Amino acid sequence: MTPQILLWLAGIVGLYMAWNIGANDVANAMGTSVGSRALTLRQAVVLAGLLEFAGAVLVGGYVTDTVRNGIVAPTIFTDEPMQLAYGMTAALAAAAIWLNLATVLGWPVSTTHSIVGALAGFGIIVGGLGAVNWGTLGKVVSSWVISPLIGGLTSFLVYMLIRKRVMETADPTAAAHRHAPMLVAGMMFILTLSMLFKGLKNLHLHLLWWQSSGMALALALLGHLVTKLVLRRSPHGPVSQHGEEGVFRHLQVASAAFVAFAHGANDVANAVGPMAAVFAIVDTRSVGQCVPVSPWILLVGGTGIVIGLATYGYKVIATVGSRITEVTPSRGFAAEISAAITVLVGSKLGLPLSTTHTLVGAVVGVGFARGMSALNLGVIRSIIASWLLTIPFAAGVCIGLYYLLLALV
Amino acid sequence: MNSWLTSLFARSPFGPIQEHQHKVQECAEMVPQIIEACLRQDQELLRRLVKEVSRKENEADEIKNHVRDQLPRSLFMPVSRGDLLQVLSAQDAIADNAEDLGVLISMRKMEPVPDEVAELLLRLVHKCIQVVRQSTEVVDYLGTLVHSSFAGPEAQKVLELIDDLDREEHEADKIQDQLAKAFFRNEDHFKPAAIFLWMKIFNKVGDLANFAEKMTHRVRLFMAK
Repeated sequence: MTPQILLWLAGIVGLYMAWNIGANDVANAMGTSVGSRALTLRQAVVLAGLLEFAGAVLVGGYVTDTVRNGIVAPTIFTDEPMQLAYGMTAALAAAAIWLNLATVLGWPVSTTHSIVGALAGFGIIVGGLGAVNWGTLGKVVSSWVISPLIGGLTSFLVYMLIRKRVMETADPTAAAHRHAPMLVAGMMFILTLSMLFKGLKNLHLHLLWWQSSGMALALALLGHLVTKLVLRRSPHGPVSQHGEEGVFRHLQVASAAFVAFAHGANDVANAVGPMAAVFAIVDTRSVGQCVPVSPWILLVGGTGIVIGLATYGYKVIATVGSRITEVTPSRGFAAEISAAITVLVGSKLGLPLSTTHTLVGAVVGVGFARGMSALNLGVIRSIIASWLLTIPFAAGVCIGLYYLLLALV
Repeated sequence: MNSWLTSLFARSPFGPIQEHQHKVQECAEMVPQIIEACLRQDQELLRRLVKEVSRKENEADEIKNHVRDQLPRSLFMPVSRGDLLQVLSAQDAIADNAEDLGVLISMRKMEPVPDEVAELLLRLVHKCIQVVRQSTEVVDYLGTLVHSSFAGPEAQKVLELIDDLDREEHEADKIQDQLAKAFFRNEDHFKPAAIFLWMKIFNKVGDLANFAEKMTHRVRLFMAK
C-alpha cells in the first residue's frame, strides 16, 4: 500500500465517520423541536446543518489532541510511525462501523467513546496493556454515570424553575413573557463563556478571564434586549396565540441551535482528529506530541456531518418529530439547553461528557420534574448495555481491521 | 427507523383513560332510560336496554384491559402508577354499577311504583348521572393537567370542578335518603322480593355518583404537592 492510498483511505473513512456523527446524535435533539412544532422538518435540517458546520469549523479541533494522545501514549510509535497511521485509520473505521450499527439499531452511542475504545484496542495490540492510558479510559467509564446524572440534574432544575416561575403562576403566558429575556440572557452568557473558554482555537483569540466575562455579559445583555423587543413587538401576535408554550417555542429553537453548535464543536474532532494524525504522520514520517489540524480537514469533517444529516439524519428527525409529539416546547427547551450546557461546561473541565448520554439523562430529568406524560424506563437497560458494549466492540473491530491493513501492506 | 429517543417515550396512558371514561359515561347514560322503561312497565324496551348496557360495559372493560396492558412497572409517569390504576378501577366501577342495575331490574317483573317513590327515584337518577358527567369533565382535563405539570391555574380550575362535584354528590346522598324514607312510607305496596330488589337498585344508582366522586378524589391526589 502506497502512502497515497493510505491518505485516501483515511480521508474516506474520516468522511464516513463524520457522516455517522451527522446521521444520529444531533438528529435526535432536533427531532423534539419538530415534534413540538417549533420547527418544520426542513428548517430543522437546515438549522442543524448550518450550526453543526459552524461549530465544527469554528470551535472544532480542541478535543483532537486529548483523544489521540490521551488514550494511547504516542511515544511507543516513535520507531515505527506508519504503524500509528494504520492504527488510526483502523480505529476511525471501527468507530464509524459501530456508530453506523448503533444508528440503524437506534442506540444512543457516544462518538467519543467509540473512537476512544477503538484506539485503546489498537494500543493494547501494539504496546501491550501498559500503552493504554487507563486514567483516560476511567474518565470515559465514569462519564457513563456522570453525563446522564449531571444532564438529568440540570434539566430537572431548569424545568422546575420553569414550572415554579411560569406554569404555576396565575397567568403563565405573562410570566413566560416576563422571564424569557432573562432565560435568553442566561443562555447567551453560558454559551459565550464556555465557547471563549474553549478557546475558539481557530480564531486565535487569547482573552483574559475578565475579557471573556465582559464579552459574555455584553452578549447576554444583547440577547436580553433583543428578546424583549421581539416579545414587545408582538404582544398579541403569534407568540401569545399559543400561550406560554408559544414563548418557549422560540426558546426551543435557540436551544436546539445551541445543541447543534456544541455538538459540532465537540464531536467533529472524533472524525477529524485521527484523520489529521494520519496525514501528519505520513507527511513527516514521525510522531509528534501534537498534530496541527488544517482548516481543510475541519471542512471535510463539517461537510461529512452535513451530508450525514441530509442523507440519513433527516429520517431520524422525521421519525422523532412524528412520534414524540407530547413534548411541549418548554420541556424540549429544558432538556436541550441542559444537555448543551452540561456538555460545554464539561468539556471545559476536561471531562469527556457525551452529548448523547447527557441528552438521555436530560430527558429523564424533565420527567422527574413531572414534565413527561410517560417514559419507558425499561429502555434504559438496553441503552446502558449499548454504552457498555461500545468500548469492547470498537476495540475488537479496530484490532481486526488493523491486522487486515497490515496484511494488505 | 429506530431511535432511542422514540423508544424512551412510551405511549401516554392519559388519552386511553379518557377514552375509557367516555365509554363508562355512555353506560351510565343508559340508566335513566332503563329506570323509566321499568317504571312504564315496558318489558320489551327494558330487555333491549339491559342488553345494550351490558354490551357497552363489555366495551369499557376492553378499553380498561388495554390501558392496564400499557402500564408496565417500568413506566415512569408524572403521577403514581397506583393512583392512576385506582382512577381506572373507580371508572370501571361506575360502568359495573350501571350494568348490575340493569341485571337486577330485569330479574323479576316489577310491580307499578307509587308516584312519590317514582318521582324521587328519577330525581336521584338524574342527579347521579349529572355527577358522572361532571367526573368526565374532570377526566377531560387530564391532558391539560399533564401539559401544566399538574399545577397552576389549570389545576386550580380542576380542583374547583371537583369541589362542585362533591357538593352535587352530597345532594344525591340527600335525595337517596328521601327516597328511602318515601319507599318505606309506601312499604305496604311492595312485595318482599320487590323491597329486596329495589333497595339494591337504589344503592346501585347512588353508587354511580359515589364512584364518580371517588374517582375524582384520586385525580385530586395527582395535584397534591
